[in-house]
Amino acid sequence: MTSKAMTKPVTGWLQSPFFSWGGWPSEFVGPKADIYETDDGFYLAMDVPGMSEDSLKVRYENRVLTVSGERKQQEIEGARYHRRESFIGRFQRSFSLSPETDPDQIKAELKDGVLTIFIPKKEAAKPRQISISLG
Amino acid sequence: MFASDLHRQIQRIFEEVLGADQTEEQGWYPALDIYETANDIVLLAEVPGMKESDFKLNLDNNVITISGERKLEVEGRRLSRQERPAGTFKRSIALPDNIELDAVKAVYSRGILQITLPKKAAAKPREIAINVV
Repeated sequence: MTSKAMTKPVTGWLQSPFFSWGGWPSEFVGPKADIYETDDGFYLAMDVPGMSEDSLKVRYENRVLTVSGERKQQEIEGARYHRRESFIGRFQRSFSLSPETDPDQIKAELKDGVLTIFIPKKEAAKPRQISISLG
Repeated sequence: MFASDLHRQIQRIFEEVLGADQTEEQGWYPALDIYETANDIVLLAEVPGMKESDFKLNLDNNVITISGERKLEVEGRRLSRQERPAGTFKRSIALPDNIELDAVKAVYSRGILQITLPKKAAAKPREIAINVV
């Protein structure tokens, strides 16, 4: 399988009606994410600064991977805001996965405000070397 | 200094400094929150996925500049979709002149760089002795 064919599986950035961003420009549709591919699978890296693992949810159902969460306003005693560009509120983003991925082995990790989800390819979908036998 | 004066001053200087900064510089701008308490002015910059060594903080003439480079490429990974900003960034914020510049502190946690700028202790009310002549 060519690399080009394999980039297809993790696409379909479904627009979601669940966004509720306080004070954000309308073009802001959710936390920004990158998708990388390796021989073994796909990495979805999403910027979620300031969020804890308790406020994030990663769910898989029917070949759709959904990341949702809520970022609450931090209450600081006596604080007066001069500028507020960070988002507050709930979000949800969904990604459709190809049948060539292995949903049982999906792993998620949160580090330095980045949520990284690894979606492995099924063994049969991984690139492999085919040995040539002499006839 | 009255809080409202400080507020006005910060607003005014933001326009001057940040306005100029954004037209001159290339790259991206981390989202920034700024709040003030009785004791401090706190800056929170959203810079996820970085290391402390990727940042530079510079204080010059009551202007604080946060700069750095966000590197996202990982060897052996082919990028198939990119939304996250990468590369160099720089933001400058003018500070009011009642900041204790030697006591500025920065902490990086959960992808947020928090810079705490303590205010100078306000001139305390005191009693003046009356000399009887």
